[in-house]
Amino acid sequence: MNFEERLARAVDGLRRSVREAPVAPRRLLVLRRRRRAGLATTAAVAFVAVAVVAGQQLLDGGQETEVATRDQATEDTIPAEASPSGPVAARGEEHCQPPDPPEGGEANMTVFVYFFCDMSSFPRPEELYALPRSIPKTNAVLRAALEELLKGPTPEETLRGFDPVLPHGTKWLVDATITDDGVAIIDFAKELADVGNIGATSPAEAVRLTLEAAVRQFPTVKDAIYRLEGDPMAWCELFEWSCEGRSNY
Amino acid sequence: MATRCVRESKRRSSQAGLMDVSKANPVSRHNPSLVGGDEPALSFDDFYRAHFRHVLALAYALTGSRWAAEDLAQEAFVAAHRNWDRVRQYDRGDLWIRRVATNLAVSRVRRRMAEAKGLLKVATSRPPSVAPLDPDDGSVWREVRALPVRQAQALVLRYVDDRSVRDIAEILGCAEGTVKAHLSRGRAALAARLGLPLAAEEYET
Repeated sequence: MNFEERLARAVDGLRRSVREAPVAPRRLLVLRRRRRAGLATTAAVAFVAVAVVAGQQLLDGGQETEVATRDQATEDTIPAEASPSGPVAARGEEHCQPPDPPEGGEANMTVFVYFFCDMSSFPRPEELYALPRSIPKTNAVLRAALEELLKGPTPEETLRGFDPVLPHGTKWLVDATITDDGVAIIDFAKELADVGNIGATSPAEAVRLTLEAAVRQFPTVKDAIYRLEGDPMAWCELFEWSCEGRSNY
Repeated sequence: MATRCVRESKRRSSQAGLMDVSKANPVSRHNPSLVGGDEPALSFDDFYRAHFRHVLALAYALTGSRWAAEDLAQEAFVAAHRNWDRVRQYDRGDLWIRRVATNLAVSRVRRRMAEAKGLLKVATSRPPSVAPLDPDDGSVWREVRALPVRQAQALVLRYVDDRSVRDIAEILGCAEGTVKAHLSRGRAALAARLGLPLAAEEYET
């Protein structure tokens, strides 16, 4: 048997396997309505969440994202208060509704992370949700906010349909600082380039939108430079962002 | 390579006066087929019936999971339904839904979500609607998925979905020459993995 014959046989087998699949558009619409209304059973949703979290940790080696120790941000780069810029989830239904904000003590501050809920294939910025996070007060507020973002939605948020930005378990963020002149410099690990097809599909746009929203929540940020292991051009190549004037960073 | 595909697509879209493919209609409006100007408006039900099994087969080949394939195919059509007012205007909605499905199938996050939902169906004793593959056939598709993403996508679109090079270029956002290169390299690599002799192939656009 040559290559063409083997491939043709495999194609026939694949087509046979879907031949009996029901084609019922009404069922799809019912599924969508149920999903929208959040009517899935509690047990089912809980199982999905556990499976997702456990599966991601298992597949990624189960390593937690390291917590930042300190970056070079100075006192005057710390915003007085972060301000959310995403839409407020519709009230009255649990799905896509942020859970109650975490309680924060005096030693804590609030930053926002941004996620899509039921992310579409062509995500738009107006579809982002701003979710609060209470973190210990820090000078490295940008880095702390981004690390919260990269941790992904909490289990409860996952239940409510919020999507993670990047696969959990890898230490994507190398550094994130805000310079005195208001430029946020965000350095990612080179492993980001290995995430399957990230630069060519809509998830790339989702990553871009969530990062931009998280970075721009701080009023002191006037511009943002993204780098891959210190190389802004590599980042621009990966995501096809504008590279003009970036080589100096 | 993947980055090059999008860059070429953007350049070609720009030359043709089209919108940015990453933000809007990914498919050229120059090839009337599914939705014509004076033809009756296509209903979502017809669109779904015409393409669901094809998209399901693509998703199965690219994910290797019956549950994930079913969920991803449904997710692609949910996206089509959500944007139906826009999608039904597209001249090549068939290419649009395949682009969505192939993108979803190679997204690790989405694939894991689909697999998790599949586990849910196992737990609730809901069998997948896709029949299991013969182990020999399954091993071929496993080798296809081990290829670089673009090569795997191009091969699956070419052989499972009988798509022309031009269609594959539109779906993947590549130049036709790039698609031919993906197909050629993918075929060679797959033949080597399977240990089978490979004949030369001419690609018609």
